[in-house]
Amino acid sequence: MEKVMTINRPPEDFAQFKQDFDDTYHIEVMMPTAPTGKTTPTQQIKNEWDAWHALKERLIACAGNVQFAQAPNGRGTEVRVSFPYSAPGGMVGSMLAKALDKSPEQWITEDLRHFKEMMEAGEIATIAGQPVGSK
Amino acid sequence: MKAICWYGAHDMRVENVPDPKILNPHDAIVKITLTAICGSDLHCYDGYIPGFEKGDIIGHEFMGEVVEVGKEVTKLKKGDRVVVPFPIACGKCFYCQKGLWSLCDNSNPNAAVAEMMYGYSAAGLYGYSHIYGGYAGGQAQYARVPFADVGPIKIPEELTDEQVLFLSDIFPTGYQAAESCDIQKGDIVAVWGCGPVGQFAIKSAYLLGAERVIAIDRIPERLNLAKEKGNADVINYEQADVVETLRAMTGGRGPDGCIDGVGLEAHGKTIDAMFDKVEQTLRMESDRPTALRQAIQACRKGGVLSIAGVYGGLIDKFNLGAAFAKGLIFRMGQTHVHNYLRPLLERIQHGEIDPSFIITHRMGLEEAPHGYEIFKNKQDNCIKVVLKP
Repeated sequence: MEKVMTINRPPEDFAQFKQDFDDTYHIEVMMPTAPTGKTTPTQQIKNEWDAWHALKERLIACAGNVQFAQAPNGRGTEVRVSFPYSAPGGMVGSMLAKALDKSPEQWITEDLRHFKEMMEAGEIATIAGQPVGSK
Repeated sequence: MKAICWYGAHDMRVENVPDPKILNPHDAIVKITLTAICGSDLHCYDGYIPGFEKGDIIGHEFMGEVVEVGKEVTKLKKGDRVVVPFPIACGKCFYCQKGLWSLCDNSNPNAAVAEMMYGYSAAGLYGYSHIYGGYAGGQAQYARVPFADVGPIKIPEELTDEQVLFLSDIFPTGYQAAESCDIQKGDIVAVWGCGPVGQFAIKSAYLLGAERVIAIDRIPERLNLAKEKGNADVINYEQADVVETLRAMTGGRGPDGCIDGVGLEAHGKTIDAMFDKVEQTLRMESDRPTALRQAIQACRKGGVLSIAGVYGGLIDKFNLGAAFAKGLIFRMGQTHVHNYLRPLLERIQHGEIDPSFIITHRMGLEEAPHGYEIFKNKQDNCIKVVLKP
């Protein structure tokens, strides 16, 4: 399974993240487990590195990978993440994912989106904590 | 604070809710001095826009005074008087940088839901369902404004709130609809719907050099306004065959540009209009494209069909064959309001237009539920309601 988003920043802005991924990837022994159901609360993601770490940790946990490629004609960088299709953890894992109403695919997509938002806009769009009428 | 909250079809309530807080570093809080009910709010009021939740604060046309700014806001400060554009845009993504602000990649917290429905997510909008981000809207005493350095425009003191409020949506929306027609010397533009957006589309088409504008509606006071203030020729579709009348009025050519200022709750007298009503009621289609079909039929060969009215889902019996056979150009979408704030503010300052001409009703927030009712039912000659919190 692959997910790709184009981030409107030049490839050189991603060199440090690629290095960081390669370093971690080689150190940590590949023991894929089901990605945990914990999504890093967006309020805790204060900067690009926080957003990157959330994505990286999820990818490492499910033996995923990430690649950075230049988009055509200066249109930024294509950030492509790949990960095993079936939820690691087998049936229990996928049942868990269903019960939580989120699959690893959705989690990873959200992490990737948060990374993009932080890299481009400098914040993650949220409505958590805004006023609402009594339910 | 007081806010107008959505509780279901035809159920808008004035609620006491907590004041908004700064949630992100580029946010500002605006104390609202004037806000309005938009025709597109009526689609929510009628329950045709999916993704609303009970208690959601509605409204996307608002202005006011900045009372607080987030730590990374540099261009706005406390005390600034601003109009806020209804699409929320980051200013940094591919789309914002191309001037396609309402398609911003980074402002919809529920982008995943929008992607499921539409393939890709557009920008977040104030008070316009959780598909568009679920942001609390502007029919309230205060609002949180994300990306405050990107959207809001400062307003000079000499202009009144009523003169500039509609920069938030309907004036740019009518203007973009007319601009999309790529108006050339001698062009005749037809506008379906003489609500507020239609009225601004008429004015804008003339500002952009149209030879003549023909406006179509059935409500007498709206047709009158189009005629009196907009200098449009008018067709009452209940009294005339629109396509044939337009043919006669354009020397047999058909209008060069056709603007759909109606959207998904069109009315009509034709057979397809009756089918649309039935199909929408039975949920066989979500939108009633009666005006759109007629515009396609009426448009001259190679003309532009500019869609400003809101569509939300699926339509049935779409005469794409006619559009194809005539080589029509389609332009549509939520307005890229940010592009128009400065130039249209200048037109107001130069006295080329005073947008307050469409206001028919002024009331407090407490009266908003009544405002919705009369606007929806076109009672009391209602064309535009503004609310003073």
